[in-house]
Amino acid sequence: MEDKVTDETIDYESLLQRCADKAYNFAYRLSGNDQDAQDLVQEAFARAFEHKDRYDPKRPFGAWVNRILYNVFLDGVRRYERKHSVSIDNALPSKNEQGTWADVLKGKDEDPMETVMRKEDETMLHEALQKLPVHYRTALILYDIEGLSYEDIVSIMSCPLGTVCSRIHKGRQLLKQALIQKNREVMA
Amino acid sequence: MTPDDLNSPDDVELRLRLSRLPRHNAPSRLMTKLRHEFVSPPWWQSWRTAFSWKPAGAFAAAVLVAALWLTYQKREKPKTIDFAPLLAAHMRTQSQTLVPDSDMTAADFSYQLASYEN
Repeated sequence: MEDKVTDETIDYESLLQRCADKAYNFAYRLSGNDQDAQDLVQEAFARAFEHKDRYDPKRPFGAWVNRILYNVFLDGVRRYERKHSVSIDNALPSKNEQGTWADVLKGKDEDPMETVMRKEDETMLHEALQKLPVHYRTALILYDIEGLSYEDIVSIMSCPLGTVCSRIHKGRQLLKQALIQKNREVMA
Repeated sequence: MTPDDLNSPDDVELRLRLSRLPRHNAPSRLMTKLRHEFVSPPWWQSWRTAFSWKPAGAFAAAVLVAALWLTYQKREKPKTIDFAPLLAAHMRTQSQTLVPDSDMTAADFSYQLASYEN
C-alpha cells in the first residue's frame, strides 16, 4: 500500500527511492550480473514513466515496475534465443558474483572461516539459480528471495496462482538438483 | 498445486537459504543516472514541459507583427512639414486676435499689452 501513484503530480524521487533497490535486486538475481541488472532497471523505469497512464493505482507501483522489468527481461531472452537458437528453458551463461568495496570493508569482524563458507554458499546458490529456466528462476526470486505475496507474483508473471505454485515447487526441485550437481563438481 | 503444498521441511530450509542471500541495492551511479533522467531533466526539457508554448508563441507573434507595423508606419511618415494647414491656422489666429498685427511684432509688445489692460 505504501508505493502508489495516485494523481498526475508524480513524485519521481520518492518512487525511485522506494522501488529502485527492490527492482535492482530482482534484476540482479534474474540476469545474474550487475551491468545487465542496471540496464534492466533503467529500461523498466523508462517504460513505466513513459506509460504512466497505463498504471493501475489500485496496485503497488513497485510490483508494476517489476512486471515491466520481467517483461523486458523475457523480451531480451527471446531476442537472444532467436539470434543464437537457444531455448528459453535453457539457463543463461553463468557469470561470477560481483562484490563491492562495501562488502569487503565491513564494519564488524566476522570469523574468517565462517565468512568464506557463507560467501561460497551464496556464490553456489547464485550460480545454481542462474542455471534454472527463466520462469522457475523468476518464481523463486519473487517468492523466496523478494518475499512477495502470491497476489503480486501472479500480477508480475501474468499467470494463475496454481501455475505460480507449481513453478515455485518445480523451481525448488531443480535448484536442489543444481546444488547437488555443483557440490559434485566441487568435490571432483 | 496450492500454496499449502510448498511448506515441506526441505522447502522451508531452501527458502531460508534463499532469503539469506545478500540484497543488492541499486548502485549509486545507476541512481544518479535515473535521477538525471527522470527527476531533474535538462533545462530545455523542463522548459518544454513547464512552459505553455502555445500562448507564449501567439503572444510573441503578436509582438513581432506590432513591431513590424510600427516600424513601417514610422518609415511612411513625411519628413517635410506641410505648410498649408499651418498657414491657414496662422491666418485664422491673426484674423481673430484683438492685438493689431503691427503691435504684435513691435519690440515694446509687453508695454503695449499692459496699456491694453489699463
